[in-house]
Amino acid sequence: MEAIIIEELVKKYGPTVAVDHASLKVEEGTVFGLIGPNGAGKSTIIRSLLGIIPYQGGKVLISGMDMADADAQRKLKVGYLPQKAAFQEWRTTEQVLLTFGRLSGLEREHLRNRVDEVLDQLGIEEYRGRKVNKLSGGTVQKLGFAQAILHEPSVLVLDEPMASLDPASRFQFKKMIKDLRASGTTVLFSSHILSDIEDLADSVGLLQYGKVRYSGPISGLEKKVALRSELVVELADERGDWRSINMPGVDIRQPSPGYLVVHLDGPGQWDEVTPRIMEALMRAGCNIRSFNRHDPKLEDVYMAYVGGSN
Amino acid sequence: MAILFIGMPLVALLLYLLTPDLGGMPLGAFTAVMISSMAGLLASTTLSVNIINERTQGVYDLFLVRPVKRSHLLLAKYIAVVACVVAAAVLALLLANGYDWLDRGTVDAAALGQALMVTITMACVSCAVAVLVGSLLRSVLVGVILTLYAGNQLSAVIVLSSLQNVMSTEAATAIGLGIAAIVLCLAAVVFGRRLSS
Repeated sequence: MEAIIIEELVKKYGPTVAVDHASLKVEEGTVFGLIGPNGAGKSTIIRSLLGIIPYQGGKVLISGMDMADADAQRKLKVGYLPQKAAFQEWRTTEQVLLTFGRLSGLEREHLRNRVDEVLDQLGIEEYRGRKVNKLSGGTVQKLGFAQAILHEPSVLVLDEPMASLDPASRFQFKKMIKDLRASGTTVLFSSHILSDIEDLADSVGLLQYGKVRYSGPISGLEKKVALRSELVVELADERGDWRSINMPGVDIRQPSPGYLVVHLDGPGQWDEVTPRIMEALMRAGCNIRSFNRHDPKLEDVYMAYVGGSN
Repeated sequence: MAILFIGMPLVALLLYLLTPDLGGMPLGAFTAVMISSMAGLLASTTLSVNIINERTQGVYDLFLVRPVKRSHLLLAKYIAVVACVVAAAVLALLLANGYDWLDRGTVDAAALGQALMVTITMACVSCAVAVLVGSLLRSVLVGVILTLYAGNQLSAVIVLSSLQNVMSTEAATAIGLGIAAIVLCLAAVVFGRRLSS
């Protein structure tokens, strides 16, 4: 069952079409990554989905309800972390969480317990009594995450959640997202850090110029751009005659002196073929210093897609 | 709030002591004049600056995904500020009239009541204009200037009509509160539209 449905969404700012008939679906209990260049429309889609801004066409639903409807907001438990979390500066960390917890329907004892839990989970217990205007950017981001998960939402929407975090905090956030997925929470998050998307997302949506160019599993995106795994061989010298090697389905090229790149024409059985390629290179007189298999990362796929080579 | 409750009576007392020739004016009357002009001014500029800053920083986004009406965000600020300012003004006037009672043995209750109504009217009208200005603008400087001139001038015009005996203080208060309500409704509509853009 789909937790999030976006169908033919159209959002305009004056004459500018920010989102152009975008359609996405996110299955319940999965993590969906939204990627795209700056200005592609990721934040606009998220804000339209949450009912923060109106849209001109299409349909956006969370668990079958439109978030612009106050009734939906009462019934649905949705957590949101905006791109730049901002709070009333005169409040302390604890006051922020208590306020948002009350507005989300949590009460007294349960609210206090949840505040203690999320402060501890995010490692910001020491900032409990500190005012928001005295917190660092990373701590504000953690506070933003804390208010998003405080009421144990069934759907969590995160807009660039890890942009201003140090590596340890990013690791912590990623672990929390994995734990949330394991507990059945649906997570939709946008990010420019493609390695995070690769680590966390079950499926991705790629946006460009307001249009969804792809939506589905990452493996499907890789197939669309037809990037191949490759074997990169570093040579100790130029003495070997690698050009004499003639193996069916194997393509060997030299992109720069001292390196060879090997591609397989079909979906490769690298584990079987690699020893035969190494043997052939050595018989051809090549002195091999090292070799490494390089599978296309999401970054390579993204650059191929967005860069227009596909 | 503590600064308001302590500061307002203190400033009135200080100015009373430092002003050279008041012609025997009681502290209560002097405080009434000071408070009625200060209260609206302070409250309205603080309110408009606060709303502009919070709106432009995106503070309200996290409220909008919860079952909170956009108009309630504005109303809550308005009521909180007006209530604090009126409470501080009441305290200042009571203290000043208490001093007069100890000093002269008499207190003009009618004048006290009139001062309260004038203060409430000026606070309500200027704060309502401040809320509208805060909802419309993104520039803090322009917001402050507009609030000071439009808000405070409008409230002064309403109150002056009673001081010039064009109408009673009660009538001026009723008109002032009515205008404040209309301006607040307009502000709520503008705020909702601006948050959606």
